[in-house]
Amino acid sequence: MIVFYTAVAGGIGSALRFFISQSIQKTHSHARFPYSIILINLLGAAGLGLLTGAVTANHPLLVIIGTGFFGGFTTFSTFSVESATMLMQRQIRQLAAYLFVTIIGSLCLFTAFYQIGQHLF
Amino acid sequence: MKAYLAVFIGGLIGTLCRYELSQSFVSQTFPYATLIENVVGSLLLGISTGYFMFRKGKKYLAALIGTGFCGGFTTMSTFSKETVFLLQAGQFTSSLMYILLSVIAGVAAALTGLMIAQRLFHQNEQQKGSR
Repeated sequence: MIVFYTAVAGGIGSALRFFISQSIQKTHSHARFPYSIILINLLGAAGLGLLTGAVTANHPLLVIIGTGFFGGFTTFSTFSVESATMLMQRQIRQLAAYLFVTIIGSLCLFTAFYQIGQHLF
Repeated sequence: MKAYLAVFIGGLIGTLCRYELSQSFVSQTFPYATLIENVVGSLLLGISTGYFMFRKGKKYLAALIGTGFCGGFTTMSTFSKETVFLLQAGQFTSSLMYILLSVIAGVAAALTGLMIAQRLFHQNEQQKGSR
């Protein structure tokens, strides 16, 4: 049953990601930089950090919400394709900024919210 | 609304595949499962992005496969979690290897996918046009 909940949570996370990226693209359609995916991946890392810190290991919510919802919400494939596109268009400075903000940002946010989750709950 | 349903179904299947793959590839030392998922998903999204660039009509199929399946199959949040846990365990080399491998192999896979799609589908279009 946990597999089913995890898959549904992943579907909901993916639909929410689609909603956010659509809304941002509508308001900032001229922006070349992929702000929406940065925001989504950073939010997802923070959320998973909070959850992982708050619940005990092997808690079923860690699988359903952690692997399912936040896994479906965040994406690595769009991140790779956008980086590859920047590389093809020789936008090296933009690529470096994108990689740095996404990787370092999500690691820092995960750690910070993991601590918050541990102390709050 | 139809596009949201397509993304939901794709994301559901993608998450299911990711979950099953992670269950069968349990490793205490290095997060191979997520690495494989992220690289394979990047390749797939590269191919599908390239493909749908030339077939603009299939909007819902693009949402199902690209945004839904590939997005649900790959994950940035679990990647961050595993990297932080490797760092906390004092495995500095492993965590650095994990970051570098994921980013380099992921971007290389996406590039390969885009190029494969360009070769396969763009050529077809040109041949059709010349006839």
